[in-house]
Parts: sequence; structure tokens; C-alpha cells
Amino acid sequence: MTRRTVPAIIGVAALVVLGLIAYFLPSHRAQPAERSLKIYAIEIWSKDLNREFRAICEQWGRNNNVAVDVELIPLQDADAKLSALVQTGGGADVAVFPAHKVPIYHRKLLDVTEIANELAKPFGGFYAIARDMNAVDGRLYGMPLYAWSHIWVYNSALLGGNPLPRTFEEAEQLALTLKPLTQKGVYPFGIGLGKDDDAAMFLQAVLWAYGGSVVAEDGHTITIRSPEAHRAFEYVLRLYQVDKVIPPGAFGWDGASNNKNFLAQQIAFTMNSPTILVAAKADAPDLATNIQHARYPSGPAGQYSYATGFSIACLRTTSKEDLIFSFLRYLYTRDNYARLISAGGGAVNPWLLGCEQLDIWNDPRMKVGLESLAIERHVGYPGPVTAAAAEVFDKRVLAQVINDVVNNSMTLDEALSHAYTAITSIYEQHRLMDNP
Amino acid sequence: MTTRHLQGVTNFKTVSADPRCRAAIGTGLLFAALSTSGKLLLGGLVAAALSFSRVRSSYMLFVAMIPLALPGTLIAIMWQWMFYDVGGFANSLLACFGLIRQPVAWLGHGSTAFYVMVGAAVWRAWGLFLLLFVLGARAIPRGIREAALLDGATGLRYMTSITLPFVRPLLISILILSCLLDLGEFDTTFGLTRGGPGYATHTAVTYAYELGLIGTQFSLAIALALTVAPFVAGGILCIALADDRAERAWKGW
Repeated sequence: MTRRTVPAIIGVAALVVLGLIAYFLPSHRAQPAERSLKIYAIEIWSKDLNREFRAICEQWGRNNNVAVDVELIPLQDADAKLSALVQTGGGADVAVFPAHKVPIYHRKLLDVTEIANELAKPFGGFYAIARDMNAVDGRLYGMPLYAWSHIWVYNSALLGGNPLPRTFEEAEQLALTLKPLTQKGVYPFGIGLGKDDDAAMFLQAVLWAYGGSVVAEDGHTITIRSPEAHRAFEYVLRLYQVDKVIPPGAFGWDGASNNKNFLAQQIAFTMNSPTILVAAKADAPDLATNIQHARYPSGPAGQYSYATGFSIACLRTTSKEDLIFSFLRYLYTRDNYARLISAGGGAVNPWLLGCEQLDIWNDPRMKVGLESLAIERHVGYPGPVTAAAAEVFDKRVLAQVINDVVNNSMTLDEALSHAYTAITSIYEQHRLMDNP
Repeated sequence: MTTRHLQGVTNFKTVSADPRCRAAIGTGLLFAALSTSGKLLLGGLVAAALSFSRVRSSYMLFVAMIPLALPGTLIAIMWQWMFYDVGGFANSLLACFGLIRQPVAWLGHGSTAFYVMVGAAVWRAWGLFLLLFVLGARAIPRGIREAALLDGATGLRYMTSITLPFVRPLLISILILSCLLDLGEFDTTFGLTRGGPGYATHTAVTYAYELGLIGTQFSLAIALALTVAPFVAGGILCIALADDRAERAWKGW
């Protein structure tokens, strides 16, 4: 040990001791608020709605002397953030979940059946779809908040005077009639076939409309290989491979691609929430006047659609149940809830009854979204909502069938068998989780 | 409270048995190899052309290094736009020259989407290799350079016979480092294709993200992500060995 070493050692030791003193001195540590609530909210396209949600949360915080921290998460990041929240138990005290995630995570979420029923009573209850999406075995694990309907959006300037189709067969005929537009780089049927939400919702609706389903009414018999399901997938494949009315790159589209292409007037019709009209009103008023909305067409087995819902949920291990329930009671007053839904401009559907008279529905085009609630069904329909059914939707098993046929050189039967195996595996995994 | 059980190597066994996981690992390795090769080739060819042209290499370096300053997500958006089937730049250009009659679904088919991904990665970082070759060329003693020119070595011949041997020790390290970075690449690849179409362009890293943070299989995702670790460790060892050899040569040990 040299003469220089000793002072160096003493210096380092002194720094360590000072650091420990600084850390353990209570007055130097930031004191967390005695009452605080961290909220994850999903940042949607409507700045007004995001702002209103934050304002309502913060107002509640001020009224109750609670430090509220609202973190707005972009929808595309929500999966990762919420998965981390559920898996690790840390991050936020309460969060807005995409509704199909509630059944997937229900084993770790707090049962909110009683508070949900209490809050829905002044409204006259929930829409059936809202209750269905959030309930597993009759118990609610998410408080239904709102939803984006999935409707058909048309650019009437490109339809050549043809009427809007009422059935999927008519939609195919319309697309074939408009096929000459492809010479100018405009495609009739603008829907992605990849992993985006629009593709998943479209395929689900087509499957139901043709009488097919992932599972039967008993909720566990896998029916993806039924003749009805076969016909549903044949329809979609015909549009892409034979009719060639869907853009060839549809498998590479993300959730915003159909919006962008519609606003650029490169597709004649698509399936989306009414957000395209909202964007067109702001950025392309001429296009906005040509936009028409319609509910999903019918198939041989009826008229169905699937909607992107959002629900509020918290972990069952939370120690802030009282605070969270107090917050929910404030959010779900008639005034605050109407304020929130109104901020959506008509492109966001309420999931509680009694909001149908708001001025936002004066535009008949926006009202189509609200009317769509009647034909919306939950994951796992015609069976009950289960975690397995939600995971099948989440994993885009239906989109993979189309991809396997087109890009992986499988026959439709092979692709459906592949899907059957994947679905069976998911159901078995959840069966084991419920019966270890 | 949930009871947790030690899984041992169960998740790793699941990864090795799952065809998608295996495919993702393979795609990641191929992506790293092709991307690094592409950067080396492009950087080397441009450096060779620059060494005997009137164009100042500093201008070319500036242009080549701009992508490095861009966030990976922005690069993904740019390349997505360029290769959109409807209205994308690539299809518009090809149609303009009459090379295609129907739009090409660049991102709609697994094979083309993979090569678009490689292209984006090469474009992003080829400037590093150009920098290496340009600086390496400048470090060559004047006498050797003049002797080579007298012997008629120009362009590609000069690059392969004179420049490459000079920069070889550093080149090996940069090559391995580039492979390691490409193995862990996420922003550009996931932003561009999200592993699609289907699962065709998933690498180990992107598939691990989808399994763990979009799906619910955290443990499997971590096991998959860790499969990259042996390659990373091997790469670091190779760099260390290469550097050790170079040091020995330099110090005359």
C-alpha cells in the first residue's frame, strides 16, 4: 500500500458513508403522498376525449385530496404496458384495458361485479355486449367504459352510383364492379389481412355471418373446421386471390394503413370505426362529404360485427380498492360519463345505456356506429366469454389461416387444421390454468 | 397468493420444440448475417469508388451517416411508405419505368418483406463501414500507396490488396459488433413488419416481445430472448481474441 492509496481509500469510504447517510435521512427523501392513485389510460385518436378523461381524473383527485397521476399510453404500446402491469403487479393502481384483455387477465384482476352493477343502475344498465365482454363465469372483472364500433366506410365518389351492399355477396359484386379502378391504382376492398385489429374484427364478423365460429355454444368444442367456417374463409380468400379486389400488400398493413389509404382515396371502402370521418372532417372536408357509413353486411347466418371495447380494471392484489371505487363512482356519474362520451364526437360508443340522446348522434353517419351495438358479439360467441376465446382473438389465429393459405402454400383445409391445433393448444393451456 | 414453481429448463425446452421459436431464431441469425454482409459490401464498394474519384469522401460520409442519426422507428415508417403496395414510392417508380403492371406486395409476402427489412438495416448503418474504409485508407503510409499506384492497383484491386489488409483487425471487430447489434435489432424490424406477414419476419427479439409483452407468455419470452445470449457471448469472445491477436502482432510478442 503506497502513500497515495490510503487517502484514496479514505476518500471513497467517506463518499459511501455520506451517500448512505443521505439515503437514510428521512427529510431528504421525497415523501409519497399519503393518498395517491396512478392511472394508465389509453391515448386514443380523440384529443378531446383524452383531455376530458384526464380532467375528470384530476378533478376527482382534487375533490378527495388524492394525488392523481394519469399516464396516457398510445394504443400500440398498451399491450406491452398492461402485460407488464399484470405480470409484475407494478406500474399503476388502475388501468384502462382493451376489453378483450379483461378475460385473458381475469385471474389477476379484481372482481368488480357489485360496483359495476351499482354504477350501471342509474343508467338503466349496460349494453349486453359491454357486460358480455367483461364477464367470465358470470362475474365482471372490468368496468365497461366505451367502445369503437366497427362499421363499413364508403367513399361514395368512387362507388360509381352503385348502392351500398346489404350482404357480403353484394359487397363482392360491388368490388368486382369497381375493379377497373385498379388500373388507376385504386382498390375497391381496402382491408388489411395481417395482425391489425381491423383484420381481426373483419374476419371474426365474416366467420359469424357465414354461421361459423371458433367454438360452439358449449364454449369448449372447437368448430373452426366446420363447413360454415370453411365457406367464410373461402369468401375472404376469393376476394384476395381470385377477384383481386383487395390490395396485394394487405398482409403487411397495420391498423392505420386502411385509414391512410382511404384518406388518400386509394381504396373505395373499408371497415373501421367512424374515426376516418372525424379525420376527414378535419383534414379533407371534400372527402368527408362523400363518406357514407353502414353496418356490417349480412351473411347467410345473419348480421354481426365485433367492436373494440375498453374497460377499467385493477389487480386483485390492490390495496387501494376504496380509492379506486371512489374514483369509479365519480367517473360514472351521469354528467361525467356523458361529458366523456360527448368528447368522442360520436365516434366512441357508450357502453352504458341512456346516452342515446346526446347531440353527438345528430349526424346520422355517426349514429350508424351506435346502432351497430345491437349486432356486436363478444369473443367466443356463440359460447360464453372465456380467457381462451379472448386469447384466440388476441393471437390473430383467424388471420393466420388466410396467411397460411396465401403465403405458406397450404390448402384451406390444412390451414384450418393448423388453426384447430393452435386453438386446441390455447384452450388446453387455459383449462390447465383453471384446473392445476 | 399465487404459488410459483421453479421451472428449471422447461421454458428452454419449449423454445427448442416450438417451430415458430426456432424459425424466429433462424430468421434473426440470417438477418444479422445478411445485414452485416450488405453493409460491408456497400461500404466497401463505395469506398473503393471514392478512393479514385474526384468526389470528396467527406461529402459521401455525411450522406451515409445521416441514417445513423435517425430513430429506428422513423426509418421503419420511411421504408414502410417506400414499399407500400398502393401508392408506395418503389411501386410508383417501377410502374413509371414500365417494369411492373401490378403493384408488388413488398411487405405482403414473407420473402420480400424480409429483404426489405434487411435493406432498411443496411441503409441505416452502412455509413459505419464506409467510415472504416475511408479512415483506413487514409492511414495507409504514402509510400505504400504510391507504390501500389505505380504497380497499377486501382479501385477494387486497391481496396482488396492494400486497404483491406490494413483495416483487417478493426474490420473483424466491427463485423462481429455489427452482427451482435443486428441480432438485438428491434426498432426498425418490428416497426417495419411487426414480425409479419404472419410470423415470417420475426426474429428472436421481436417474437419474444410479442410473446411476452403482447401475449401473456412472459417466461417463454425471456427464455427465447436468452437464446441470443450464447451468440452474443461467442461474438464478444471472438472480438476479444481478434483484438488480442492484433495486440500481440503490434507489440511483437
